[in-house]
Amino acid sequence: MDPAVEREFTDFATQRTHALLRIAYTLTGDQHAAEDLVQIALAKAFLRWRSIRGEAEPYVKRIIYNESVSRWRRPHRRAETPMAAPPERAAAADDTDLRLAVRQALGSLPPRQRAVLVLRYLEDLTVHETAEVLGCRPGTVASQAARALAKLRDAVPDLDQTMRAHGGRGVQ
Amino acid sequence: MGNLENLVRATLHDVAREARPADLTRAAMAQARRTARYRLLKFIAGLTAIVVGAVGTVVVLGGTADQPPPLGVTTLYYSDGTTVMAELGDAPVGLDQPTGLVVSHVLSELSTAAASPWRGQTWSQIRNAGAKIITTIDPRAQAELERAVDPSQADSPVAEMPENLRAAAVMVEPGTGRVLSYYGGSDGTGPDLAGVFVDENGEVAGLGRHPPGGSFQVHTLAAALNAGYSLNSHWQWTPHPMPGRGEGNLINNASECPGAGNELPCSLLDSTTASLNVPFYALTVSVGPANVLSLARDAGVDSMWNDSGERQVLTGGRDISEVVPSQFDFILGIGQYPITVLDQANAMATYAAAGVRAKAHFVRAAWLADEPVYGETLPAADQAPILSASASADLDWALSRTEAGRIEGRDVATKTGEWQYGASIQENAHAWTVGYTRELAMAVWVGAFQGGPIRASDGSAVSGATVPAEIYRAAMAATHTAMNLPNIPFPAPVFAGELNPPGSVPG
Repeated sequence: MDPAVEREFTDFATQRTHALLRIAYTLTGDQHAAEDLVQIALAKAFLRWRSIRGEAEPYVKRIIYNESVSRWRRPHRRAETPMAAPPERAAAADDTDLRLAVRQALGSLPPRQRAVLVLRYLEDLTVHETAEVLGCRPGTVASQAARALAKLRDAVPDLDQTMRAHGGRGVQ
Repeated sequence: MGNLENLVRATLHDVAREARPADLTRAAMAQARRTARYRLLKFIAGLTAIVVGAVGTVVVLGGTADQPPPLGVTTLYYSDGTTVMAELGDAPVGLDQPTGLVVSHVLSELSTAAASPWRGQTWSQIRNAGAKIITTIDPRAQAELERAVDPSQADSPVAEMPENLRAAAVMVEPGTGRVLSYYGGSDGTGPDLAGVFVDENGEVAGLGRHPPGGSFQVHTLAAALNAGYSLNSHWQWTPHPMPGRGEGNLINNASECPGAGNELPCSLLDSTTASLNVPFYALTVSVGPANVLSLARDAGVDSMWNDSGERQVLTGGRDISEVVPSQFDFILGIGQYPITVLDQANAMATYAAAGVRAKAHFVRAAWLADEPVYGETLPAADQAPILSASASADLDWALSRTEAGRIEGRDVATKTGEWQYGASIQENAHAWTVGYTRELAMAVWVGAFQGGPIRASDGSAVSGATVPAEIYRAAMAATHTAMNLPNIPFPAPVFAGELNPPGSVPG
């Protein structure tokens, strides 16, 4: 490979790996899986550097999202006993319980719905931008997002209750 | 809906913040360099260089200027010496098979082994050396392993599994350390999920390291038995505060002590059979995590990955106190830290050989122009075992009680294990079965391609005793038959050692 390609690629990867890892971790929920995912995407980018330079970040992200979606099947839900203690949690905020519940529910979403949520709410992309990354129609993004949110709402029945208690609508 | 969206946004940011930094740049480039596309690009670049060179000066035929002309294509054979596994050279054949991953291990071994004539040379030089390389891979064992573990094989236990599930498995011959069969993925040009190797740039390649969970308890138990702890010692098995794990952060079990109520302690023997985390954590504290890790290292665990995903090489005279507790804490004894499937298989082979370690290897011999130029190194006849005879006998016996590993007519020692999925406490991400007979040792791992919870097609969660154990039983039984391996019974248990060691519940 051309040394200039290696230099450019190294600069890009050094600067962007952590941001990419955050996305991959949010998609997979697992550090090793996230690293593997980002590494695979970076390797592909390196091989095609000449044609994608300048557009490297969207290219790598597209690979990350699409790999995370295409390699998965729709998961089934079934509780199973844990083998180790839960990991340390961050300091409690007011809505900690709700966030933990949402988090648990996020893990049970099909990969495509999870990817849509990450694009829409972690990366703050519009419906159209999200559709572009995933290579699908905007209508699909909208319906997947709605379905995902509906599932999360089902999974977090305390939500309305808590919000009422916090002074939302429904308080007398 | 606005409130829910805000909550989702906050939660996703919470999760994203937990991602730990990692430097993947060099690993990504190394991975790219192993692909066919990279070799093609390099070939085209080489051609261009020749054409450019031809304009003004001499053309070097058959190779670029910095590379000597090839001597011939190197060929890899199975251990029978006649069945071809792969042809290397610049246009390799056979790499897209499961055994394509063996090729990387072979090249790694031959470019680094002290006795190798290619030590320090490039992989390209070995590929084009015109050598005949006899690998340790037994064609019968490899066929049976692939039948059991490869989802493209119709009668495999994983044939009907969800497509994101991945399995990796390795068999090692006790006493010699020969890798008899190896499966780290269906395509040898893809990632290696069973092990890691040093590639031609000196980088560690391969993704075959996974948290071993309860399968690591084999080492914890062996260390305790070797330190003089009895299988009949008793341990508090219900969750309680222990060093490093206070209230709110307790170690939990996934099962219960058979026959003991919550008030009664559990014997070390039953704790093993039921794969209880609490007693094994306490045992690690009592025996000492450095002693547990030293024994695992002596058995065959050459490296372990810390919480930052960094590989720590444990061999080469490294002082274990350098890594315990700074890199690895008490929880190593219940298998939090990733190790490779290959190393687990190597360690099981050591226990199978009553504690005689033979280093796992992939090359039996290499020939150049009908002259032997390299041979494998086997343990000396008087090499000291890492375990006492009584510890070895008690280990065999304790592990032979594992139901999931039973094979009719054979004495089999088995341990299963799982590790949880990410922050979830309801799903497994990794499931293992490891074990041995006197004649054959094996490690099986099942996980998801890019992480995530592992579930069978019917939605049930995969644990060590389900899919990995099915693969293990199928491959072990079939390989013993195919290779005509006799059943050599385990010795009778001794129940040696102290009934009231430190940390146990006095009887």
